[in-house]
Amino acid sequence: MRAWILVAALAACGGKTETTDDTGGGDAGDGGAADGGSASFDDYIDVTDPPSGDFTGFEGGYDAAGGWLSQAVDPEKQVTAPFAGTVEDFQEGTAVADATVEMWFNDSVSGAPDAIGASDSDGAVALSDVPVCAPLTYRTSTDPDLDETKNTIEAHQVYDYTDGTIDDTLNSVSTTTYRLIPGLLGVDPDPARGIIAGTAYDVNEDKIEGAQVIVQDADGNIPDGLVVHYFIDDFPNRDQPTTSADGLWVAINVPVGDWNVDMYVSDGAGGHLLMGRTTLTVEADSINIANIYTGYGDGVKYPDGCLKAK
Amino acid sequence: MVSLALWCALLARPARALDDGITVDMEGYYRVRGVFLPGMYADQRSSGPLDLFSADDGDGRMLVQRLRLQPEFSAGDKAHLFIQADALDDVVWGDNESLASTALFAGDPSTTGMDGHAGDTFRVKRAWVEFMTPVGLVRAGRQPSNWGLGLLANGGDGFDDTFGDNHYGSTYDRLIFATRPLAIAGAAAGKESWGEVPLYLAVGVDRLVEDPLIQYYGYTCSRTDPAGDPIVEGSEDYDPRCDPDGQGYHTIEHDYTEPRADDDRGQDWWIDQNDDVMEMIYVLVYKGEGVRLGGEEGDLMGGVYVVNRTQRETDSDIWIYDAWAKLAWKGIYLEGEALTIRGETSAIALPGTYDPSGATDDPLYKKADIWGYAARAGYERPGWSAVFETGYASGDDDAADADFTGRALHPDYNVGLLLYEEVMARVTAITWTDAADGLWSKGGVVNSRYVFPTFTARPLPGNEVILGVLGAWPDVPDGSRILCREGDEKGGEAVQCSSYDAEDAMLGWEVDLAVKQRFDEHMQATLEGGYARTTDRIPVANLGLNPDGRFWTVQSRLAWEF
Repeated sequence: MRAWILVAALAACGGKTETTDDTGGGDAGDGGAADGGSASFDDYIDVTDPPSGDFTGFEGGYDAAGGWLSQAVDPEKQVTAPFAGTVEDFQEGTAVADATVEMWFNDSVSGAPDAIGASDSDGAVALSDVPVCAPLTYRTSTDPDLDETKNTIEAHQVYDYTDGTIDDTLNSVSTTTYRLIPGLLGVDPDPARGIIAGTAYDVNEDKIEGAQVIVQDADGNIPDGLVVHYFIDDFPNRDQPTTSADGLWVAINVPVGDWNVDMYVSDGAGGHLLMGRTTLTVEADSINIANIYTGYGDGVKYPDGCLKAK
Repeated sequence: MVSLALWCALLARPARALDDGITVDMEGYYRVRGVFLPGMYADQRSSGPLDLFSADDGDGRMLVQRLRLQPEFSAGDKAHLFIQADALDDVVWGDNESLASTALFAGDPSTTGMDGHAGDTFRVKRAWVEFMTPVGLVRAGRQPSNWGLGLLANGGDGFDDTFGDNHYGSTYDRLIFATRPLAIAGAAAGKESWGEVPLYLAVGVDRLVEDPLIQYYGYTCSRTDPAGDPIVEGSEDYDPRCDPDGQGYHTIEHDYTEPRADDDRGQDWWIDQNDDVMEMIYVLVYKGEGVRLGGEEGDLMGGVYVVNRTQRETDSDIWIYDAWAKLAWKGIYLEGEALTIRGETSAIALPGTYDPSGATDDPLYKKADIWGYAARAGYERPGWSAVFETGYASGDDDAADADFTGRALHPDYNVGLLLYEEVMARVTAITWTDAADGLWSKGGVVNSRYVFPTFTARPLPGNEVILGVLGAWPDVPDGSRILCREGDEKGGEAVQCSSYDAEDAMLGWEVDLAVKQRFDEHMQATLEGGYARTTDRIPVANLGLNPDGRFWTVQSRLAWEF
C-alpha cells in the first residue's frame, strides 16, 4: 500500500473569490471533460458541501481578503547551509542510488540548476550552500535508459532555519508507481505531459476536506485532457468528488508549461471561494509535488522558524 | 480429457525394451523460431512501417529455441513414468549476459530467455507416474493439464496453434484418478456393453501452495499515522493486530503482504495448513472417437471440467466451471469451450488491485465473476478447410474494486500473431508493471471479444497455407489499457470514465498468413507473417509503442519432432 500513499506522503512532506461565472476546464468528481470537448470551470469545481478546516483570517477567500496573505520572513534567517539528505524511492522507502539531484534556488525549474549532486549507493547526497528559509525546487532523476524512475519535482520546498546541516529526504518516484496510480484511476497518462499532486491545507496546516482544485494558465485557460482526482485515506479513488480528510488531490495530463493550481471551496450559496493557489512549471513525463496553503497564492509556506518574531 | 495424454496413455507406443523389461520411448522436439518485429516501440521505429529491408535500430530480430525431451519408461502397458525436460527453453540466441566482457568478442552463448532474464540451461519441468488399476487409471506427479481448447488449462505441448508457438503450459502437482463409471456399473449390473461407452470420470487434487514465500497478512500496519505521529491505543488508526505484545501502540509495520526469503522459514514451514492453496478437480467427459453418427464415423466429444480452489487465510473459495464440446462429422467441424470463474477471495494483494477506500470493510475482498469462451465452426476437406472462430475474455474496468471480472485466456491459446500476442501483451505489461505481473495477458485474449476466420489450403503433401483475419472489440474499457468511448456500456449501463478519448468501436484488426511444410517425417518448416492495425482504443503512443498503431511481423520456425 505504500505505493498508494505516494502522493500523500510526498505532499504531506512537503486569490480572488471565484464564483460560478468563472471560466477556465470535465465532470467534477473525476474532474475531466467527460464529453471529450473543451473543459469548463464547472467541470472541475462544483462542490456544494461546506469544507472542514480552519479558515480564520481568510474566511471569504481571495476576493474578500483583497489579495493573498503575506508572510514576514526574517531576512537574517535566510542563510545557506550544507545539505546532507537521502534520495528514497517512495514505494519501497529504499535508497535510490545514482540519482541526480538538482536544486533551483529561484524555486522554478528553468535554466541551469543552482546545485547539483548525485546519490551514492546508499542514496545519500550532499550539497553545499543550500538556502534555508527560502523556497526552492528540487528534481530527482536517474538514467533514463534504465527507465527505473520518473523525474520527480518538488516545488516550493522551504527548509526551516538551522545553523547546522539540512537533513531531508528527497523523493524519487519509480516508473512502477507512475504507471500504477493512473491505471488505478482509469486514466491514460500522456508522457508528453506531467502529473501534479499535493495536499490542501487550512491556515493551521491541517488538511482540508471538501476542497476542489483546478489547473489553469495565467489567463484562466484549462488544459484539454486534464483529469483531476481525489483520495480517500491516502488512496486514490475514482469516485471521490472532493478532497477527503486526507486533503489529497492529483491532476493528471497537465501540459508542459507554467500553471496555477487553484483550490476552491463552496461558499454555501452556490458559488465557490478561491482559497489558495500554487504555481509551478510542469515538465513532460514528470511527477510534480506542490501543496496548496489557504491564504497563499504561490504555494510557499514558511516554517515558523523562518518568520519574524511577532 | 484432463490432459489428453491421460487417456492416450492407454495406447500402446512403439518403444525400445531394456534388459529388465522396461521399455523406453522418447518424444519431444527441437525448435528454432525467428522473429522479425520492426518498429514495435515508438523510440525505435523503423523509417517505414512496411520497410522489410530497412536496418533501423528498432527493426527487432530475435531467434529463440527450445529442446524438449520427454522420455517415457513403461513396464508393460499398465505402468508408466514420464519425464519432461526442457533445455534452452525459449533461450535467445547469442551471449546476452555479457559472458564475454566485450560484446564484440562474444563466443559462448548465454541462456537468456525471451523475458531478458537468465534461465537454467536444463530444467525438468514435469515428471509423473501413471498406472492402471482394476477400476481405473491413477496418475501422480508434476504433470501437464489441458482441457478442451485450452482456454483455461493448456498443456502448451507440441505445435497445436494455427499461428505462433507455445511458451508457457499449465503444470500442476496433481493426484488424479480416472475411470469409466459405466464400465464399473455395467460390470456390477452384468451389462458389459456399458463399458464400451467412452464416458470418463476423473477426480483429482492439486497441491498448489504448501507455504507462500510471500508472507500474507491481509491488513496493513504502520507505526505512525500520516502526520508522522505514533499510533497509540485509543486512536482511530489503532489496530491491536499491529500491537501483538500489547504495548499500547503499534510496534510492527507491514503491507498487506511482505516479501520473505526462504531463509526466513522455520523447520515447521510446511506445517501450517492455513496458508495452503489446494484445489479439487472433477471431470466428466464423453470421448467418442470414430463413433457412428447418421451412418458415418465421426468424433463426438464433450464434457465439463470443474475446479474448486481454496485457501483459508485469504477466505478464498473459487469455483471454475469449464464446458467443452467437439463434433467432427462429414467434414463439419464444431468445437467450443466456455468457462466461468466464480467465488470470493481476499488473496489478491497486487499493487492496483485493492482499494482501502472502497465500499467493503476488506480492501482485498473480491467477488469473482469472470467469463470466457471460444467457439469454432468450419468445414474440412482433405485439400482445404475453413473455420470461423469467435471468442471472448471478460474484462475489468476497475481492478481495484470488489468486482473481479477480468482474466485473459491462456497465453498458449494463440489468436493471431500480433494484436494479442505482441501488442496487448505489451500494453498490459507496461501498465501493470513488474509489480503486478500476475495481471499481464502474456499474449492471451484479454478484455475483448473477437472473430477470427481462417482458411487453410493443402496444395501439396505435408503442406499447408493458412490465411487468418482477426477483428477484435473491447469488452469493458478501463481508461488506462483500453480507452473509453462515448456510448460504452457495461451490463447495460454506461461505463464511467475519466475521459472518453476513443472514437473507434474496434480494438483493432489483423491479417495473418502462414505457410507450413512437413518433410522427412520429422522436420517441419513454417513461415508466418502478420500485419495489425490498432485503433485509438489502445494508447500505443502513450505507452511507448508505435504511435501509428501499425504493426507487422515475419516469423519462421524450424522444428524436429520425435
